[in-house]
Amino acid sequence: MHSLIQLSIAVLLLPLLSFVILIFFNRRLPRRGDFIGVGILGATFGLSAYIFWTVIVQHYDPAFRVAWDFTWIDFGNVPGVGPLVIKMGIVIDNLTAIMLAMVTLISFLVHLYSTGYMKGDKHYGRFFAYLGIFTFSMLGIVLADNLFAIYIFWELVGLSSYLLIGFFFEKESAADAQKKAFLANRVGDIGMWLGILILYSQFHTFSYHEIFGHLAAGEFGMSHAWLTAAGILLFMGCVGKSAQFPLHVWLPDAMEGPTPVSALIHAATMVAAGVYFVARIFVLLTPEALYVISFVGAFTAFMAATIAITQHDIKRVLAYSTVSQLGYMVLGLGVGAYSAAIFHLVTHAFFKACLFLGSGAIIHAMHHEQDMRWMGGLRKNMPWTFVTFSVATLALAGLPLSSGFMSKDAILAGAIGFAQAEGGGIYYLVPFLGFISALMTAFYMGRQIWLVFFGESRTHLKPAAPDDHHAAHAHDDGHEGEHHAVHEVAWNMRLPLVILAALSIFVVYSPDPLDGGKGWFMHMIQTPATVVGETVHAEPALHMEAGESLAAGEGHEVVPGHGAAQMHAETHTEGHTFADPRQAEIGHLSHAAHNQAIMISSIMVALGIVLALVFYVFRLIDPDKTAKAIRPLYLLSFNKWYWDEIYNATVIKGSLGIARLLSWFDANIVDGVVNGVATLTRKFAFANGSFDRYAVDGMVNFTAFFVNTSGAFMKKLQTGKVQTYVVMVILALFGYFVYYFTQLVY
Amino acid sequence: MEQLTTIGINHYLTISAILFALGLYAVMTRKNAIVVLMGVELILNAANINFLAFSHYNGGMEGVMFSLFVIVLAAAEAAVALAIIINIYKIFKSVDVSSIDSMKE
Amino acid sequence: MLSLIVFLPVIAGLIILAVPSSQKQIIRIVSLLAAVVQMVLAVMIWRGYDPSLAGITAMAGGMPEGSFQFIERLPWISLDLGNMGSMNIEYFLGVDGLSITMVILTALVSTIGVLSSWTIKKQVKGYFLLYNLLATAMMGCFVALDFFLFYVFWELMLLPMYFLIGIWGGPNREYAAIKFFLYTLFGSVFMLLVMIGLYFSVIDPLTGNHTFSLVAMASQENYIKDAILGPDNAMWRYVAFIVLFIGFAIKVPMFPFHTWLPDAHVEAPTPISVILAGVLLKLGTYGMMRINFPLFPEVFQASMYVIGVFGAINIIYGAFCALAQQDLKKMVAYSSISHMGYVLLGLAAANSEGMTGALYQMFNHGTITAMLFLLVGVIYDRAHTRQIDKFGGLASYMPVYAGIVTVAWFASLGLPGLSGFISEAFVFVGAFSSETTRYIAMVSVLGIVFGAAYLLWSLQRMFLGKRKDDAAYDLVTGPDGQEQIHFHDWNGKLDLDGRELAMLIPLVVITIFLGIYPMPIMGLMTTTVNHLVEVLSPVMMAVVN
Repeated sequence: MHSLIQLSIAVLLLPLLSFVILIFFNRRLPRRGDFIGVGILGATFGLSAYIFWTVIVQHYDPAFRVAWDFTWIDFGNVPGVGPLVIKMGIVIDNLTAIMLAMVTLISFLVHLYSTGYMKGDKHYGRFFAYLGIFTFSMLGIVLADNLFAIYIFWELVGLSSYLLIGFFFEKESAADAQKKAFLANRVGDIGMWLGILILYSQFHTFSYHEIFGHLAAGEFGMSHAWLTAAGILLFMGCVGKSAQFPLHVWLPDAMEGPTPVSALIHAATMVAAGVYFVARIFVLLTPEALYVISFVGAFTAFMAATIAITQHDIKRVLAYSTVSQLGYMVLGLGVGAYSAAIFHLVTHAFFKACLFLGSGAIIHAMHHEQDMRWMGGLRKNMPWTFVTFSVATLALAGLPLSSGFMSKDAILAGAIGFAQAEGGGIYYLVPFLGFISALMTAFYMGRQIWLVFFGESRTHLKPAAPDDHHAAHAHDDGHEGEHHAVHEVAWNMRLPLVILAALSIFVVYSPDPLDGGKGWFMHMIQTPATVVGETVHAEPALHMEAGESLAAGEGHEVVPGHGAAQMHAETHTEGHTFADPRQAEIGHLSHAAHNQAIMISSIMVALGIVLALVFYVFRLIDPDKTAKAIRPLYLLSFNKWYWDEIYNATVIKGSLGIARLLSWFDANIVDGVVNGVATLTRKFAFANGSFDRYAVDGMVNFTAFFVNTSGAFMKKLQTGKVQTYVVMVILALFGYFVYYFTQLVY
Repeated sequence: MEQLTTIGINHYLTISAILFALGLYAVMTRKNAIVVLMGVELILNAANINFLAFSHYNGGMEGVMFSLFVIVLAAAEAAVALAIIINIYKIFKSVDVSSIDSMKE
Repeated sequence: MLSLIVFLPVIAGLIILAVPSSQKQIIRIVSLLAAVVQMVLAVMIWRGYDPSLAGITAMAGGMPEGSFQFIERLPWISLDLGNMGSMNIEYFLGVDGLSITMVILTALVSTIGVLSSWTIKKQVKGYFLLYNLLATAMMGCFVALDFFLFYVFWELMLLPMYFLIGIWGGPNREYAAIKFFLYTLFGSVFMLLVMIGLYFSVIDPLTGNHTFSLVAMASQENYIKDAILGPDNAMWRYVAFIVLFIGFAIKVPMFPFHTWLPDAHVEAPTPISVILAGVLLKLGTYGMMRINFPLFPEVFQASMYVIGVFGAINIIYGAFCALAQQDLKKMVAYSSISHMGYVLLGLAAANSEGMTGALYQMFNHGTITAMLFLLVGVIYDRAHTRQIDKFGGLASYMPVYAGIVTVAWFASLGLPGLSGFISEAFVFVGAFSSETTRYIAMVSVLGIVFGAAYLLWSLQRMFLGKRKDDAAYDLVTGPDGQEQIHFHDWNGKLDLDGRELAMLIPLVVITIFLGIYPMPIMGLMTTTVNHLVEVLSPVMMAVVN
């Protein structure tokens, strides 16, 4: 076993150990065992950092891959298939290494942060236990080498988010939110599961590597449409987990969980799992599936951005911005900007975690006030938070010199390239929605920064509302008794903010602030070659090229450790080489569109910031009046496009209605038939019984009657007196003699 | 005359018949249980006389054997019957057989 | 060995008969001892079992040895019927991969059931007598290899079950008991007819006589060509398959023969619900795998699609009905219907993944549903109600209970890492891989969502949030100043007590362990299931004909 594999097994199991220790023993440990959680996660991060160092820095090879597996289930010699085993295993490549480092770092920081934020909570120890199982599940997704394992951890992530969202389970809204999150994820999961089933049914294996090998060899026995369907169905898993339209509704509600949880799973890692998964299966997505993915991503990015503009809750704005940014990543994958999407996944994880932890610090300092309308002026009271929050905001808005700028522009460049490659028309909608969303992102983040940190404090303006979050959170508020002054948070909450903000700056990823493509990241994560045979744009000559790559794909089966990316290891300065002509075309056009994308998006971002300034800083336009002027649009945005209401009226009401109907059907029709048969049988039995009683029984009764009456007569002879009996004996004897002698005589 | 001087079998049988009739009469008519019991004894002894008479005139000892058994049995029977009568008296405060009819119905 | 494991409970029953009925504790302990020894025997059989032997059919030449294990075979009833030949009924026991898992499950659930029966207060002696009789009958069904013997055990099960529901049940117990009894009897009458038909159609190759041996019946070459159920008589074979299937389907229970189940569960006392859901339902699907399908493989081939459709109906219909229930126990009962639908779907797939999944699901459903019913019993003992809406916020006051409920509920909804997931997953894998049932599988996955919906909804209504105003319990201030729960009629421990933990913890451990590493149970069945798939495959039938 490779030493990296051993390390990664330790990385995987350590958080589980933390969970097991804390769930059972947290009450018996000092400080409820939080040091165990933080310590173990620190160690996990240390190991992951070592793996990252070895893989990324030492090897610096885009095709690096180590794999290991073991037999999990042995089906024996299956008729029609031959020996069949289900394997579980671990694969480490560049993507895994980067994800490992990212997940463990953010998880570690969130653990550290939570020692401050969750202090004094009734279930303080349990919180760290849940964080442990979440980290375990997420690492499982990252390390898994097959679809079955990823599905297992996928659902376990769902479970962890269920537990964490409902951490304040005594609140009905939290209990609703956790259920909603789990169910929305499950809907996505069944799609993903069907996608897995399509692939398994053809190849009898769950391993990515083997599936890709079989696909590349053209062994897919079903039609091309099924393969497209498999891609789209697998993508459904991502739609659920990464909160894409139409299953995005759970994510904003998931903000019912404690804020560190929002940072960890609903911004940085869990939602990223969807994007990560699509990246893993990227090579088997057919062009048709990619269209669907790109349009879903673009629409999600746009829709969520429009909603974020009007929200008042600081966490909801961030939640919708998360949905919007996830839309970008999905869009990126859909248009074939594979590296850019993953780049954005990583940069977004850091700056969004920073934003959420920052908002958590604000909420903590404001004594669980989440409404931005009653904040303001925090710049002076919370300088550390202000600076880090601003850096992360710049990255989210996509301003130059930030990490978000590089990754977002790479995606948008890819989108332009995609639209050009597809020949324009409707496909320009994808980059168009992307740019519009960039504008809106800049606008709502500018609004947020201004409302929260600038101006004067508006705490006193708040009407005394009954549904005050303060009351709901009273039980876990350690500062309950203190006066309402706003202070900077303690070091254990500040340190994570600083680290995350530092990771939102361009130099970490690329020396050139305008071009992420020149950095190590884009070099290490390169678009793998598709394994799908036919492509729409392939011309006869190019078919041969594709065929060659298929042969190569078959070849790497023999040599484990050589990734699918092996054959694309060589890069030239201007981008990548692609075996697939469609990808190659998009790649070249994207590269050409790079400067164009930077320009448009910079203009958009600038426009957004100017708008925010116009509305909220200079007050040239009153936002309230504008809202009134375009009231229908405002309401649409404010009420989140009414998706919750629509789902409630259709899916939920419908399901419950069907449930009641079927239950009624069961109790009255099905059981009614049974009881009806029973009644009929009884009726028949009754008729039969009547015959029995009057005819058959009559005979019996007559006999009894006869015996009875004759007996009543006879019993009178029984006087009970001995002498009567003697007389009778004598008489009888006498009678016999008379008879005897008469016989003698005649 | 010879019939009158020598006692033949007819005499025995006549005596026995008279005894039997007396006994039967006692059993059938007397109300006192002890008298009924005495009647039974008479009947038994009538039978004994018959046995001995036939035995004497026919030769062989079977009749004697039977009458010995009957005497023994009569003794046992008398003992049991008296015990029953005492118990009946204890329960009914009477030895009147006509009043002891609780077996009826 | 097998005779001992089968008749051990009856021996315990005889001992109980000798114990005066006032000595309740002794009666309970004798039963528990018998169950524990039975469990130990089951483990010994498990250890001694060789998973490489196939089962289902005999080896070449008709010898069951080398295919079945732990065989015990004695002539039992031999009747000379004159010119109709002779009646040869054997006492024939043995296990293969199908039955070994069920033997383990039965021993396990019986033991848990005895522990759970500690709360029975009424006529303890009679209760345990019947309970032990039931345990014997169940175990006998799973190891009998003679159809007649199987039938005897099958019918023997009805009697104690009828009384256990009818005497120790809830308010509407007579109705439920009669319904259960009649339903099952209806099924078994046909079984009797088919059994006799089969007897006259099959020749044991070893003796040349007619036989009731299921081993001989499973090989198509042992059938007389022109006999009533011989290969030439296709129509009667269809009829026989269908009526036999209905007989087993009632037990499963399959839509539309399922309505006895909710009633029986709601009325039955907790341990009987546990036995009913944990073991009895498995007899239906076990019967299909042991008798119904291998005896009539060509009819099975023709009806796979229909069976799959009924499986899908069970899954989705059961889930919807569960969603609408107010009574927690009724909800769990409908969830059983839904989960047994997965078994039917897996069987209909007729490939190794599907059938293994189905058999594994039978085992897992046994443990998980036992857990669910025990948990329902725990709260019913305390609150004397099972209305879901009469609770709320229990998680704050009964944390251990809530924790185990969470594990059980998530196991039931098929969370990975818990055993139910693996079996459901492979049922779907199998069903999708088979072209016959592919589209059925695609519809059935909806069951995953609705399964999650009703379980999570009930979890939320009972355990999360705060106490409802009309809840079945009060909140009082405890001695330590903390708010604590108070039930009106309950003096025991508020959270789970030692006995309840002793029943639940083993099940939780098994559920988690088999969810992570299924091979200890799955490894027992793979060879047999592969052979069964072969027996059922059209290729095999072509060879025979």
